[in-house]
Amino acid sequence: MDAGEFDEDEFFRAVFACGGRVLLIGRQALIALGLPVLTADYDFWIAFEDVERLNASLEPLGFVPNRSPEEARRTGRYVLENSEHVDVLLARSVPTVHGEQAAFEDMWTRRQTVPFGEGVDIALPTIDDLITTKLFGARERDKADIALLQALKRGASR
Amino acid sequence: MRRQELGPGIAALHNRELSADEARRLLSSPLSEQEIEATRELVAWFMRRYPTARERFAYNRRAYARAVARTGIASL
Repeated sequence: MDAGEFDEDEFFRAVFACGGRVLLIGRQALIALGLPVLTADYDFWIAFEDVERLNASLEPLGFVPNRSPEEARRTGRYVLENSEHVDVLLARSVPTVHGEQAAFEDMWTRRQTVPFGEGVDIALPTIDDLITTKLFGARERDKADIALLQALKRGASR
Repeated sequence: MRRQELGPGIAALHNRELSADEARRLLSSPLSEQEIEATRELVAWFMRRYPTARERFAYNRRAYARAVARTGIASL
């Protein structure tokens, strides 16, 4: 499958219809919430048990995992690729750069959903939890996204 | 989507890791009313123009492709 053939609608439908617990994180989550940032990547945080479900759902679209499910569970992350690049986090919890521990189960419990269309809902962390995910391996480039998320939260609470 | 990375100098700045203190400062630094209002207006426009997540994702793909074609840089 080359870039011209990638069907983003089909991709999101496959991800969120896989039957697993999948959170959209990264810049695509900001876009889902209405922040017009740009990105080429897709980032998801999934339940530790659900790697096989996600892989099976994306396999018909030509996505190939770079690690076996066992290796992915051992390292806490893996990549799915065809013409697109999908980063998948599956650690049960991840530390932030300032020493907090963020657990998938907690974020999943607090999740919000955004309608994608055609009966598909996208699950994503709360704004506060998205800010936390930006602090997992926080880099200079994440500062602007964190400020946007903070402003989004403040603006929404008015 | 075609990818082309930033030059090494810019990439180093872009990817510099924040320290724990920097992260704490970032979380506690207050936003100005102007920043909040500018973001609110930006989001209102984006949601009005592209009401569904599906449309917003599609906008990202088009805008990203345009930005890459113009600048040749994919690490936005």
